Amino acid sequence: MTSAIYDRQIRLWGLQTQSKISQSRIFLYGYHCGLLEELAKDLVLTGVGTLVIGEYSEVTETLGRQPMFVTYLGHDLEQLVEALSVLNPHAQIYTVNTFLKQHFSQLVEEQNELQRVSKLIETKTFAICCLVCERLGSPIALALDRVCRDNNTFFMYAEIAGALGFLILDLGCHYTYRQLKKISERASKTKIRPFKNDEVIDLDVNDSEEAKDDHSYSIPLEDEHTLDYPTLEQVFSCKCGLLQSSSKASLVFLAFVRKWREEYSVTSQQDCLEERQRKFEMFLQRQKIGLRKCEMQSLYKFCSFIDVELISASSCLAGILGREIVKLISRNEKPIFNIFIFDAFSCLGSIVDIPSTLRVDRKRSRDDEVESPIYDI
Amino acid sequence: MNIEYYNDRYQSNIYKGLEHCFLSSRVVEKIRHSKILLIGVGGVGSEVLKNLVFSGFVNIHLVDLDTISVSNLNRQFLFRSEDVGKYKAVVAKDRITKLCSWSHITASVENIRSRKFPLEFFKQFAAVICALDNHKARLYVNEVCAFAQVPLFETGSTGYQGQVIPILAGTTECYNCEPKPPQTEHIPVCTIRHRPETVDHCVVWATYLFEVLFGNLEDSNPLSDEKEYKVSRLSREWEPNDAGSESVTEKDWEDMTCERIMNKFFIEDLQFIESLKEDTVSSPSRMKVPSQEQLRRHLWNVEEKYSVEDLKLEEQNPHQLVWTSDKAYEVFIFCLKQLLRRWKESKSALIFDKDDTISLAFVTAASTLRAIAFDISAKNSFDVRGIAGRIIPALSTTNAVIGGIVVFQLLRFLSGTHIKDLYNARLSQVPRSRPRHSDEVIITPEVIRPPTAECVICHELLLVTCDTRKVTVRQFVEEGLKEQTKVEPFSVATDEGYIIYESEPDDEVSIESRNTDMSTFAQLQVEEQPISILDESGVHYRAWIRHQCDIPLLIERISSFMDDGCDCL
Repeated sequence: MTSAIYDRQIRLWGLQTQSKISQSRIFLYGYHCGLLEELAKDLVLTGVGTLVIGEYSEVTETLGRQPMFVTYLGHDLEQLVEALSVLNPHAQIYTVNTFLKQHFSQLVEEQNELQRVSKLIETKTFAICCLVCERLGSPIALALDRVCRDNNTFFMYAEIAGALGFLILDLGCHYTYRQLKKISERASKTKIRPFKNDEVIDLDVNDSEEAKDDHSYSIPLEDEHTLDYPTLEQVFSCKCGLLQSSSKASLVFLAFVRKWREEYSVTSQQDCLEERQRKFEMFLQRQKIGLRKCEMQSLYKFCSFIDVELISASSCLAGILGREIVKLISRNEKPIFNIFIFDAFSCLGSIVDIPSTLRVDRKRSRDDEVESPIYDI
Repeated sequence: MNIEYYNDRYQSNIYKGLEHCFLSSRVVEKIRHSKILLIGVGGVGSEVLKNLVFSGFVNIHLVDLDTISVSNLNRQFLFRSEDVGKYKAVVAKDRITKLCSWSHITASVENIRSRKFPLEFFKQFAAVICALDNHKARLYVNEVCAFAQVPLFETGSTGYQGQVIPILAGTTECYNCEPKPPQTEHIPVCTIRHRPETVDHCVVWATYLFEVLFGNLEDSNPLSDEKEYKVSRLSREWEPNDAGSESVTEKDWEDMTCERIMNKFFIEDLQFIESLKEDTVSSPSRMKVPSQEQLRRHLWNVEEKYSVEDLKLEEQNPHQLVWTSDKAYEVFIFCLKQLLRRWKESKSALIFDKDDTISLAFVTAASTLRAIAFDISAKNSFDVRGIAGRIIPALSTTNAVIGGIVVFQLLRFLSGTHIKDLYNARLSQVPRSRPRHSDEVIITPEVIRPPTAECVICHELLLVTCDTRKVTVRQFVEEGLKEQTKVEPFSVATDEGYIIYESEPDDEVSIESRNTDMSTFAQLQVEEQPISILDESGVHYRAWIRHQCDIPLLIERISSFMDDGCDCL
């Protein structure tokens, strides 16, 4: 019985959540890096039902300089899918192309890869879409976030830059969850919903409504909370220089990393560290961001590893991300609201939320059109 | 693209990554040539091994004596279902070598406390990573790393939480510095015996009941004064005696024993507890004490109603309904009879095993009856298995976080950061706020503290090097402790309690044991393990004896590692 494999996690979150996990459908998109592999591995081990993995290939082929990712489960996506299937033979794992061919063959004809992916999200097949490591900086992320919002799909943006990791969640403007509460120890005060017979409930039951968490120690309480997430565009266009957060410097750096990738992703030029640091200074000046000296010093150091991957940092970020995905499936806990930043050097994993006062909808300026290609869906 | 192309590219990416991150090419060489010891290849260990190998470490030694079980497969990704039953260290080595052909892994299926790992073994490593799951073994590893002066990275993971703790005894706080709460909270005896309040108390009572009836009755068992109910004693009461009275049939014996046990533990004891309550000003008793009639009714026909297979299905189902008192009585009797038969066949004590369906059902039934008696919500056998078996829930995501943090901290250390400047890292279940910081955190760094003043591991370690075939206890005490180290020993003993020296031996001690005086260390077999020395003024030392041929006895006090606790490039 498969629940023997999941024994150690069922004891933590109950059979109902495990059942929901086994029926969940998750879409991972981005670049085949260690972070993608780690996340896929964690999800597959946890028992996710369907996992579809895609790589944005159009730019990969034109990338002059390959980012220094560290992967180990497969040389390409097909091999990765095979390796993951061995980890969990019950999970349905596909590359985007295979999934489309099998289930949505009409979409295969879409010319533009991003359009194919968007149309796939529009079918509302997936509960969660996670973008991992966008090499182009922002355009794909923004486009995907918009499509996900329009189709009630949770969107997660994950980025790794050497020893730094970032997670931005957009769960829509009306995300609800309930918190589990402990019940009284006293038998006379406990209401156990009676079952019809002494039935044994199987993990494979199709209707998860039957598998309610009415077992002996927890009864979900009707304590509903609602969260209003900013869009990714609001987050990216936020003036992070104005944030009153201890993580302000890290967010500024993420903005720089995105800009740098937009400019450098399609060239084969090698830039040296000094060149990068100079660009960083220029970026700060243009954005009119002032940072403290100590913050500047650490960010100068970070410039050296924008383009590399350290598997230990990726493993850690993937673990945090995997846990958040389970929260979205169970709806029993508050998810990260709305940005998570991991700094491996200082062993710090902090949560930042963009206050609504700083949420701005960016108007496209002429500069943007000149500097970055537009990815219209 | 052939496999060599990819291997080259991966290695290149790994090492370039290190260079860029730590701004040094020497760190690459250092990591390539460092040997790392990984103790434990379970949940955290699997992640650590993968991270080590793909961070550029080549020489890794694995130690784990455990075999793979089905419940490991939700997180220990190097293992598959066909590997169940095989040794973790062996399979992990095979799998990781397939993923990373340039790695050089050694696997030992041994207990880390084995004599196969002398102090010299530990000294060859640049660092030790401990991914064990029990307190005693961690204490041992902490101590041996202190003697070997090797940095230790302790890890732990439980459910949603975890921590990483870099240790260099004498420089930083070690695992022994802060007293750890025992893995199971100590529950007061009176709570178990008279005043249970939670279902955990009832389950613990039920496991003690199992031990009283069938097991080796330890003094630590709160029910230890119920010795007369040991099945070994009860069985003698019904053996045919010489007076030729009718011998009792096996079935009668079983029925009588069941009735006797149930009367005692489910009527008499409860009545006694109720009488206690009448004397105190407390809330009215909610206890339900069954009558004799009710108990007798349950003795009949249990064999036809239940089977091991049915009970096994129930224990695997997290949603199984909690048993009614009728069912609990019936299952209790069914299991009691099965266990009585088992005991009779084996003629020796039975040990509670959470993986044995009958034992588990027995404890579940007993705890259910106890809970019902005290108006406590009972739990089903799935949950009771978790409590009685002390099962620690575990997730791959938590292990991924801890495995990532510990390897990164190791990289920082090897790139030149002083161990004091690393961090204790804690992964919490929910975000926490930090003083003087506006953001909440899930991963919290804590500044590493210096050793506590009272910690013997950090302050009073003696390394004894000698030819153990020649040096006697007397030489050790007179020439070594008294002359060299200026320590006046009161007693010297091993951790098993074997006293090899006493300054004031008991007069009643036999002549044989006084002869340890002239025995060599080799004869007493006390080398390569920690021993305790108590001196006349009450100071406690720990010593480690290691063998080297033909050298004079040398005792060194271990002080802080090198000058400043950093593995300088």
